[in-house]
Amino acid sequence: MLKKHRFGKLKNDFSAYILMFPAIFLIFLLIWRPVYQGFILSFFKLQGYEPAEFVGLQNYKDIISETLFKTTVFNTFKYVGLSLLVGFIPPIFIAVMLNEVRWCKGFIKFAIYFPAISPVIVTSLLWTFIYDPSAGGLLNMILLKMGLPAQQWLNDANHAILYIIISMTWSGFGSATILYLSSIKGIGTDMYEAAYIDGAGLWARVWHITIPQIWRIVLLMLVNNIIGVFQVFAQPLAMTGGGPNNATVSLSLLAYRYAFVYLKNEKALAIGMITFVMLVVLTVFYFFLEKRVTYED
Amino acid sequence: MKKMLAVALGLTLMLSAVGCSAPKENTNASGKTQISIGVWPREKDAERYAQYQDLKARFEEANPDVEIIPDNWSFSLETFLAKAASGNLPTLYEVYFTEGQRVINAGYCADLTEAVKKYGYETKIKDSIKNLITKDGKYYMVPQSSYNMGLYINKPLFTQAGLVNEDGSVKVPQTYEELAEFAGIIKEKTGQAGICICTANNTGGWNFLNVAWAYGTEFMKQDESGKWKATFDSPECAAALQWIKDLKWKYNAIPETSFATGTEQQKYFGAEQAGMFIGTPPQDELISIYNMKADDICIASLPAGPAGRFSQIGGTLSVVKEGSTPEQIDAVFKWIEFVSNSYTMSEDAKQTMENSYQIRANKGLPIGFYQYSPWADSAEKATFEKSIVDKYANIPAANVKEFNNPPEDLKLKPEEPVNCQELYAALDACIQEVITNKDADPAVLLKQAAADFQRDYLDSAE
Repeated sequence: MLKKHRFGKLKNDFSAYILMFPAIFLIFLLIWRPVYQGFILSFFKLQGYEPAEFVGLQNYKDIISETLFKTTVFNTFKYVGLSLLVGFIPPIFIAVMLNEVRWCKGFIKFAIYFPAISPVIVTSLLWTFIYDPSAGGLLNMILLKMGLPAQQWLNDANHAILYIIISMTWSGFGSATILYLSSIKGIGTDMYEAAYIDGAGLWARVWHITIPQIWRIVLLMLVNNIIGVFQVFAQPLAMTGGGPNNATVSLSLLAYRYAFVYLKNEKALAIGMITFVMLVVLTVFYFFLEKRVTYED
Repeated sequence: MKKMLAVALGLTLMLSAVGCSAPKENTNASGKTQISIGVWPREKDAERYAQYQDLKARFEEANPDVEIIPDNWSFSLETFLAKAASGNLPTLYEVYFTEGQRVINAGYCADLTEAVKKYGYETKIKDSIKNLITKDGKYYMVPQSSYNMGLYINKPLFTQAGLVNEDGSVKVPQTYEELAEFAGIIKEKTGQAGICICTANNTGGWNFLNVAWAYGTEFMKQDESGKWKATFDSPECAAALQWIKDLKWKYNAIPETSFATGTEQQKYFGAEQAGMFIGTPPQDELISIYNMKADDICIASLPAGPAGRFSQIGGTLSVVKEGSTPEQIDAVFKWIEFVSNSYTMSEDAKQTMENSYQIRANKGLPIGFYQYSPWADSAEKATFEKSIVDKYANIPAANVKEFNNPPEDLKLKPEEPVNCQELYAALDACIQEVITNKDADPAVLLKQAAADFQRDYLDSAE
């Protein structure tokens, strides 16, 4: 009886599965298959892309014992930490502000979203010019005009990641702002009207109505942000090449070096798998939160 | 459990089925041997494209059993392995000297030993090149073009800084100490950087080899058991790194950025913002992108250090795709000879070489310096090429006198034998540290870098 019911359900949903098939096939071909093959190959010594010798966990041991790996893991977490400190709050703040704006709203929305439409390599190069440590660099020109000393910016190993994060925040916060704004727009106006009648000011309305209403999406964006920044690659590649003195090398950039500079694909795959496992944990957490948010909504 | 096994087996079979490889071309329908030739000019490069199309027509006429298939792909680390693994490499492709051994180790090149012997290359290839193209006594590549590094000198900046002789020629620094002093003078007199040194993306280490060798550095040694030992934790290498540190902190003579590559060198030099750089001829971009006048470019031999004067050699190597048939390998060698990439110079080869220089001259690209030849000095090609260079030279002879007539003590040296890119990355980090941290100690940095390099790479080097 149960089997019959299941078959009937499958028959009913058949057209849906047919429609989904191309997407699932492409996901299988372009994502699942490389991940599966990468996982298998990471246990081999490779000649090019061909497995030459099974070495078990040796590639993982080599990578983990490598001096640069520890630096790279530390840097990657530093990227994530700084991105939360620097880049997580501004989109929420701006979305709240934008919701209160009455004039030129369309233009401001466009202006905020504009950096998000530029390719990452373009914004990275743009910020490289902004951070140029010579007197001709944009920021240094401003500092010098103000009578302040020029700064080393990306040359400064202690703060280079911070400066990269600022550039990433600039180019990425537009999309997050729009998402928060749409969430804020979903809050019923009756609550604001009631609060207004009760004499609540802007801050009280934001604190007692807006923030509680959007906290679920904030939580989701938090995990999403961590996962995204964990894979940071293009910005350090374009802006610093991982320097100075490896101060900005991320896990993805290290994997890139192994694959495309040293031609040691087995080690690149091992790094990829380590990163993958870390991200799977975060993704499971993300799905858990998303499910909870959807359920509560 | 059975279900799981069945799913796993099914998945593996599916994954294998989805895997694909390109069909190999060996012969066409009429039985001709087909060879695809990489780095074929694109149509938008009209003059060179026309030249290659003409070469193809003439070659096929002279060799009616061979068909040439043009292929635009040129070597890059980002695309090489993917191309190779999918079987889509051209039959003949070229790689840089720096990548030769890694391409051999990756197994994507055919054994050319028989053809090398048949065409008489074995005795004509310089010994210094042989290590790059052989493994276990077998030849996997043949040299195509080569260069040795030189010191580029910006004549207008040298003139502004008063670094000129009575006859108007630029003063060429003869030692690295003198070079640093000149760089300081340029900074003081013109406000521009005296020299732009490479510091990033492994180019820093690559450039640094010349300086370090001149200071007496030996980067690695192989012991009797075949194991490699990092040896650059030495006072000599520390002195070379100190020289770079002095350029920054004593002479203030390098650009502010700590992420300079060859592209930045060209940009600073071409915009008259750097007086010198260590580079590899021909540096076409100085003219084609930065609109420099050929008259303003001078090239000299690299200076000497306490241990002598060294210049790194580099260039491109011709490689035949693994799995090529003996007929294809033979056809490739005929093509190599035809397009003047061999040591011999047939009339066709002479014409090809002259056409190539004519095209460069028409574009105004720099001509006038003699390229280092990978072939034995007695080879006809080197002599003929010099005559063609003289014929089409657009850089005044006085500007390249030092480079074309190098001091007798100049030693030409290929890069280090194993894990070069990894070594360059380690040296990049040291260089970046000494130019961003005034208190950095070169000896301490090198000690750590050598220990890491030994443990991370050399201990497992083959």
